[in-house]
Amino acid sequence: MSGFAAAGLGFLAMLGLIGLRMPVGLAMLSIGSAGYIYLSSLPAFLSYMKTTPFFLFSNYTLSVIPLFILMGAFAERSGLATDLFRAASAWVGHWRGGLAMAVIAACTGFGAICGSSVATTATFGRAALPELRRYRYGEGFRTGVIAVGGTLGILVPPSIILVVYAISTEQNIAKLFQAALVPALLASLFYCIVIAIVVRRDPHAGPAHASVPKEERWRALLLVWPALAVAIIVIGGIYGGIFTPTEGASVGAVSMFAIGLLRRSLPWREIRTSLLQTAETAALIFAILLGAEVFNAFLALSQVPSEAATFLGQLGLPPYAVLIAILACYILLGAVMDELAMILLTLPVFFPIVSALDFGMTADEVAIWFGILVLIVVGIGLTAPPIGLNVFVVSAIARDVPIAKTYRGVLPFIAADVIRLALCVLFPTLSLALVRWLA
Amino acid sequence: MKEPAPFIPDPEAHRSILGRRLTAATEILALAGGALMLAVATLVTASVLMRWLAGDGISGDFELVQIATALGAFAFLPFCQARRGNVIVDTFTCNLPRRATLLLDATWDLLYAAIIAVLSWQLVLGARDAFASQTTSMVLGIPYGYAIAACAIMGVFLALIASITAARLVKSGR
Repeated sequence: MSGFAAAGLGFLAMLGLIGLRMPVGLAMLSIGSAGYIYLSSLPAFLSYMKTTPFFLFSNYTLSVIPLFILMGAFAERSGLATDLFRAASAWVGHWRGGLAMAVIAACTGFGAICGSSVATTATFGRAALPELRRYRYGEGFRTGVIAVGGTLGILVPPSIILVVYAISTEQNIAKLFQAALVPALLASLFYCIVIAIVVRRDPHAGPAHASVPKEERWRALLLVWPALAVAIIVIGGIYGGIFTPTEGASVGAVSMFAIGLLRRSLPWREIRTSLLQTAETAALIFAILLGAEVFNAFLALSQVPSEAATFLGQLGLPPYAVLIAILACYILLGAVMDELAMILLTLPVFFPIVSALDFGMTADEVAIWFGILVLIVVGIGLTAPPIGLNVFVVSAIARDVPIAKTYRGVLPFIAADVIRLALCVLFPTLSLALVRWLA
Repeated sequence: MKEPAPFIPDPEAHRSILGRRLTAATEILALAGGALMLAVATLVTASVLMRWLAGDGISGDFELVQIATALGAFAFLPFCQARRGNVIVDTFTCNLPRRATLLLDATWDLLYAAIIAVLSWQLVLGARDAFASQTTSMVLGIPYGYAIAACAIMGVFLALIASITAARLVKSGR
């Protein structure tokens, strides 16, 4: 069996095992190990395993993952999401659809602290859904807004998905975070426009609530400014090269911890939960990373990724056609697969292909731009039917709303996402302008 | 797809004595790992502040971050396994009888235990090599052998937990 056949068979076997409920990380680990042993030898594999697990995890870049998760967990457990949502709704809640826009605004702020969309969705599901229900926001509309707002957790830097992309393609995290900013703000803006259109067509979907007096608005804002200041310091510091992403994440985690303690909103029970929550989230990411490491070592032995890139390069296809095909592939895969596993599995093949194409930019710029496009597509995969992780998370919290209604509520936002994706494909400047300006 | 659910304490986990001890042990290890990450974050923050105020940070802090991340990863994995928190796709098997999915899950847990056991054994050998060659970190000169050995021990614990979760699935169906 050639390397090509082995890789193909391994890929199919892995997908089959995942379909049979095998944990995603384990499927990659076991098939990767089997493939590695087949293409080289058992002793070679065993000696590869002597230090790989240790040195994979003792990676300076990788340490940002648990640290950012810790920062988000402290923010979440100290009730920051509720405060952010209250502040935003004090300012815009009296507009029609204003509470929904407040969710988007608060998610944008929370996304600047938290790098995970599932955590953002779950947090706002608990913090904002009861309020939306109380003001009689439409069923699918209110859950849809939360599911979509949750994607801002990864779209707004810091973002776990971007860190994983940076690690697996050996790109600069700080530059990826810079590139993500404008598309992320564009996302919030587009979501607010969609909300405005939805409530204009159906005023019952998002009724306005009474206006809040000015003093109260400022008081609500005053409550969240320390956390927002931390977010700005962390992200600004990483952008400006004042500290590395790991240092930024450390400063952020410690600051959120200190703010929680000072505000007395972080009792021991919540600290404990924050740490355990971090442990579980980080562990499942690490398990997938370990699996992907071994599986990709197997793929590299089979030489499929480099051969596929050369083959496609020789075909001389138009670069944009290849790019669009890859993005379409991601949207399809994202509809049925875990997003993290999806990018870790596909990047070893897709990334060399994209790098070999000529878009009239430097290789680094293409890599960063492609990372942002992948991020947007992952965001779509998180909310799009049939399997949108965020929709599942909202449904688990809002048991009174049928999941089909949530999917219907999400649809207009997905249309906005597709438009944003098209804009970012057509105008790489949207992603790269800030990177170039800060360079 | 099973979502990586936000951590919620599981009251069911405290039923059996073994279950209780098991949960307690993985929780303590996970808490220790989390505390280690927080401690390292504090150290790095202090280093950043010192660099800002005095122009000179704590040298080699990044090596402590690296070692702490590896130790943290291995400290977190057993907790995740005890809670069966790993990402699985259940779209294609949701119509199978419960008994069948339980057996599948138990089989995968056993496979996980076996692979992790092999991997831990290789880590023991890796630690021995590191001691023999006196491999240390560049700046602080921390011997890697201890850290790798600690990861190996936690790996054995993970394999143990995975085999216990397999047994628990077959016996009591959760």
